[in-house]
Amino acid sequence: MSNNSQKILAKIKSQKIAPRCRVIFLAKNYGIWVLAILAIFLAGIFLGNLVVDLISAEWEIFGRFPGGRLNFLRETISIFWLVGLAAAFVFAFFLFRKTKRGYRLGALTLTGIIFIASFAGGVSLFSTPFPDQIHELHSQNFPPRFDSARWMNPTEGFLFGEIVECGDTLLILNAIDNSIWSIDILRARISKMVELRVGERVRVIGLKLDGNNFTAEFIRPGELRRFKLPRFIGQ
Amino acid sequence: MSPENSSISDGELVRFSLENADFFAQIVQKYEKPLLRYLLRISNISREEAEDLLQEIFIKTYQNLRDFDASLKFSSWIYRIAHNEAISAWRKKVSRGEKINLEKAEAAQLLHSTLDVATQIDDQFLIESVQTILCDLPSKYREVLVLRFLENKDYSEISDILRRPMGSVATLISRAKKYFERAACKVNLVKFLEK
Repeated sequence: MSNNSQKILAKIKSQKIAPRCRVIFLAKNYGIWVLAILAIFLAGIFLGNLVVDLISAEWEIFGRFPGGRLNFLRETISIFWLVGLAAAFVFAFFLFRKTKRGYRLGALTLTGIIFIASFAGGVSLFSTPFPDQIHELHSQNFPPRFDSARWMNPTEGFLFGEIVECGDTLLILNAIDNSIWSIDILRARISKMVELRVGERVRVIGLKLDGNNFTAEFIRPGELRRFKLPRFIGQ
Repeated sequence: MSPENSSISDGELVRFSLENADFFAQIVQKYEKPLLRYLLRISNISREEAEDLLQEIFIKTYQNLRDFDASLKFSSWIYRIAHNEAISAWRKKVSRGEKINLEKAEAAQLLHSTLDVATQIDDQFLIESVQTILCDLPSKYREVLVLRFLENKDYSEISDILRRPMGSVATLISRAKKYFERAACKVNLVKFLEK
């Protein structure tokens, strides 16, 4: 036996060093897996909400949104979902890398796996009330960004106000600055979420004519709103 | 089974060591020389410090024996522990500017593997140049070069030791070779070899 082996053996015996209990290692390994799976589910919820935001966005007026396309995305997509998704994704990535074999997967493969797992996890979670609760909490704390001043800009083609008179081809609108507008709606594309009736608040996209006359291209509901989450399973 | 029996496999040694610490001496005997050499190759510590570090590595290995995954090679696992300890030691000592311990044959082996040259050059110049280059290399490159060309580990073992994907190991080795070549140009080693 070499000198070094003797020294090490003597140290092990004199200091009564013993191999650590297997349960400690199992707990650590399973703990990492549990956290990684939780991160996947969270990523799934954020991803699901992000997809719902994107699906329910006003893509019809993407090119005509006040403030441009970037503003459309800013007002449509909640930064909360994006940040949450990114954080959960990064967390899941590093946790999977920490598992016993996780390091063997390349970054791209692992990203793909996490994405697919998040999607599957998100879809399965949508059958429980949990995403609804998060969605509700989010809607209360992060109402959609809505810049009414941008929507009251007739020269740029945006009007925002309340219908005071309603005909088949003409609307009279009391705009939010209290100006009264006569709007030709003959060729307008009217959102299914809009009911053309007195008292309804609407956003109008079109072209300003002379005076307070306007031709509408699109008529959208007065406020941006967060949509209810779809139920994929159990309904 | 006697602790002196040398024909036992690593996996069995681990199993027996868990029942009787005397068997662990065989693991120490088998790996002390390669691990000591490895520590000296990848870190800038002295031989005495490396021996102390080696003791800590074996103690740590013994404490973590139950964490050993039998699907891995035991050598990869113990090298991983050594690697992590050596990196910590290197980080603590980086400011001292001590050189990596290399012998002439090792310096030549590394030089020939990375630059693909076979010229005989002055021993002292060769050792000092390779030592300088290795010291200056980012640790991630130094580690893969040492593991691949001095420890003769294959990609899969390096992947298990460094806990990196195999593709990433291949990329690292390729980049490390280029980095080594550039560094060799800087210390005029390549020019010297071309003469």
